[in-house]
Amino acid sequence: MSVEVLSIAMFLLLVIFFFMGHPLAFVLGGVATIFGFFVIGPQIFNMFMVRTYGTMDNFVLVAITLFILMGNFLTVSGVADGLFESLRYLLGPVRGGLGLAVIAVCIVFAACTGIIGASVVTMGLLAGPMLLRYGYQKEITMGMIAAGGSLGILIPPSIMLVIMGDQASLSVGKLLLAAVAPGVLLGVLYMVYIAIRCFVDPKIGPPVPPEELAKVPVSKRITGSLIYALPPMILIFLVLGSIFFGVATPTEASGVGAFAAFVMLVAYGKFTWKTFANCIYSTAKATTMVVMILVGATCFTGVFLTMGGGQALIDGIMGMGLGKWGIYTLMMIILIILGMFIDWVGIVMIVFPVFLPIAKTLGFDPIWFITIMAVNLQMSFLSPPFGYALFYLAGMKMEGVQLSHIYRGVVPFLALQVIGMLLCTLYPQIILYLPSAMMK
Amino acid sequence: MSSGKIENLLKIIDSISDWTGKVFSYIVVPLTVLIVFEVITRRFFDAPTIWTFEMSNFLFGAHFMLCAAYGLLYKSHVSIDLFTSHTNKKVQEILGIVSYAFMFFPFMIVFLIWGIDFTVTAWKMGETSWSVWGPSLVPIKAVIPVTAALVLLQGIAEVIKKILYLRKGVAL
Amino acid sequence: APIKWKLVSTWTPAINLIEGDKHFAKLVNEMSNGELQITVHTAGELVPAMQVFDSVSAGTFEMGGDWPNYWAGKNSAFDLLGSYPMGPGQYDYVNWYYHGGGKDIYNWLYGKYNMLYFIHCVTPMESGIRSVVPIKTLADYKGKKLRMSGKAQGHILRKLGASQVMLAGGEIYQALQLKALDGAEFCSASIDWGMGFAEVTKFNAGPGWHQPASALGVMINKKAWEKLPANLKAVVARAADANVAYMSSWYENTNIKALADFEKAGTTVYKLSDKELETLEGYSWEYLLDEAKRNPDFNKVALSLFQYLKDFRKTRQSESPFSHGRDWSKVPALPGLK
Ligand code: NA
Ligand code: NA
Repeated sequence: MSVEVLSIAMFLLLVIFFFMGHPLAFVLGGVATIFGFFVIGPQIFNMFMVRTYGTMDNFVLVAITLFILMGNFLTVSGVADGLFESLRYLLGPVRGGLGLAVIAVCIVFAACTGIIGASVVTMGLLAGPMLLRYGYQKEITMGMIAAGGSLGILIPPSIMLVIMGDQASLSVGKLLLAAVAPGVLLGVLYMVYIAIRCFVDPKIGPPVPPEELAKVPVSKRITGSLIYALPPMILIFLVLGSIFFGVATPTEASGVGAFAAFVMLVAYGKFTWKTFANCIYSTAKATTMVVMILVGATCFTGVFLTMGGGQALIDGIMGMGLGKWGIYTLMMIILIILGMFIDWVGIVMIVFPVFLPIAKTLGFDPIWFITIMAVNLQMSFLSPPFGYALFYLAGMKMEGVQLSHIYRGVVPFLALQVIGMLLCTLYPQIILYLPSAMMK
Repeated sequence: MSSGKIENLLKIIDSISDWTGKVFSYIVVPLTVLIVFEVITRRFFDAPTIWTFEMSNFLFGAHFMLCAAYGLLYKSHVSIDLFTSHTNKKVQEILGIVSYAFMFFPFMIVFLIWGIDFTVTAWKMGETSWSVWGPSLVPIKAVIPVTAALVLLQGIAEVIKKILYLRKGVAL
Repeated sequence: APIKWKLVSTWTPAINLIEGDKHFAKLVNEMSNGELQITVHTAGELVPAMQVFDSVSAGTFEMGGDWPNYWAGKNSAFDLLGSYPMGPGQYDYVNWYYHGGGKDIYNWLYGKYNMLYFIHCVTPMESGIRSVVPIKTLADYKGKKLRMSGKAQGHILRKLGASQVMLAGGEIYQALQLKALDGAEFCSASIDWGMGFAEVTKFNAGPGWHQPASALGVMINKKAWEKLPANLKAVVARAADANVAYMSSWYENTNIKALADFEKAGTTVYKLSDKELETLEGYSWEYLLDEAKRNPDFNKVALSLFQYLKDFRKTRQSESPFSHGRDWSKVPALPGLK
């Protein structure tokens, strides 16, 4: 059988068993086991061990655990509720106001963490139940958390940009600067969309009812928001500040964040051994959910790449004769298709050796081109059937939320990501301004 | 085996996953303390330690791996429920058994066998990490086969639950 | 049908040490007329950098590109095969390997793990620590958090009151930028330049005492090797020889431009005094003796290497100052000389 057929068979099997209801981590691993055994031979299984060990021995991923712990502490301490509550009153009369606040918090949080699992799960924990409680439509709620949470890996710090810079022999510093504006641009696009949707149809994101607002005078809203918003602001300052001022790496900052959140739990008088234990248990469940998928995915990607699947896929599509922008479009489409199935690490490993020389021949600025790819890969977290942001949200099992709500909810955000990508293509200065202004 | 015995077995397996999971969940506490400790000693006392960096990786790896069976028990691992009505529940359980047979067990058995091999190889050569601290890597590598064993055990329990449902029509 | 091998490397594309692996694979592919086709896979693509050894040893992949010191955790004797602080220089390694018994030592040690070995290039002295804060003297090492490879180096850093951090190459830039590290050594100037260190560090603490030269090469799984026909075995061996000559010189030459680039970028260079280097040498012998007592394998490698260097000493001295280190600043003004 040819590599092309085998690759397609691999993805088909993946889709079939996943939709039969088996846990994704084990479907990824199971398909890798079957194809590894029959196509390559049992000697490949040592690779499962070394790749799994590589996942376990990764200081960057440690932040997933600790941000999830932070999210759990913040949730039970009521601090997060306080923050969103006060923001809700501040933006009270605005339709979709709370949604706008959530995206804003997502952007700030994205500046603290560099991995997708951490930001989506944490934002899901903090903002999800809150949005649903105040009558936000399930679809838009899921969409905004998945899309907003995924910004964590685009806006620096970002493990993705670090690896991309490494793979491309480019200064990571320039790439990190280049990704700031596109990241914020996407966030703003999400906000504009939420504002418009909720303005047209307030049922999607209701404003605070006038009766409820009337009970709380404006002055009290402001002082109230100061009181409630202050502790989480301090927390954000601690986490962000420790990164910005070079006190801590993002991983260390996640530890500081978790510890500070614990202090808040005690300070707010919500500490009991039982709540504490529950936080610990939920953290374990959420962490193993997120990282075991990475383990399955790393085995899957390893087998796929060893088979030569990635190369075959690209060779087939690049064989067509196209012009500069035709090839560019095609490359972007390949990224989108790959993004539907495999994780970004695999995609970077597959396409970089092929795309970068092509981009160079076509005369694209490498910093611009790689940043565009990073923006494009934002879609991979949301695009069905395999979008990791979606799965993390599904894994959190929020009340009344089904996978279908999540799938439907992200569609408009995928469209917004395409728009963002188009803007960055038409106006390359969005990407290039910061790195050229700040570094020579 | 009588069905009473089977149910006892299920209870035992479930409680193994439950207890190991609860105990290993607490690994996150020393992990947090360690990292905060490192930030403080390094930044404020200029006395960085040589072992916190590696130790936090070990704790992270052990935490999410050893809690995997616990996650399986509480259905935390991401999966899709397409069939929710009662009549379809049977179909779902059959599909579930098929998936366990073709996906779960082959993967986890590979994890167990190669994990033991991976650990024994490290043990035979007395492998340590590469730093001055140089701790043995055997315990952290042993986490892989131990995880596989725990997850396999819970997987067996999940399959038995599905079979029992098909036979008796009651969810356990 | 051609035989297809995969070479899994410990280097990512950004680290130009990968060029050694790539050029070697290219030579094999050309010299074998395509009968043996080696594809190079950078770190992380198939296996993470630090897992290359295990997967070649287990036979998952036929060949791995490495720097032997990475495997010191498996056997501390590897710590001598890639480099040693205050130890052998570029051509010391080449000489020892080809005619001083080194080749057998590499094959013996890797052989313990089911592999054989060919060195395929030796890079020149590394550029020392690139730091965020100035490190002018040995006293300045105290309290610093430094990225540096190797156990012997770790021992020396501990003696100096600094703390050793092990970070993969790709993680160093951000760690320096965030000032999570005070400084980092990575490799020689051209490689450091390519990784963008000039953007995040201002100072360079030299000379590269921690790694006066680095031997790099390929490990090959024994079973895969045995299956190879004799003519292809010869191709692999000769390709490695050719690569040693070509790439060792290539790396040295890329440093010419890189040193100038760092100077232009405003990097301030400090060099330790001879007396300070003597202190470091003392620490490095301390570790050598201790480890030789602990690990007989280490002793065996150390004996072969340092006996050779001691025997070679007179010849080396008689060549001085005509070997490396000769100052060419007094070349007369030939017409056209810059
Ligand atoms: Na980020
Ligand atoms: Na996707």
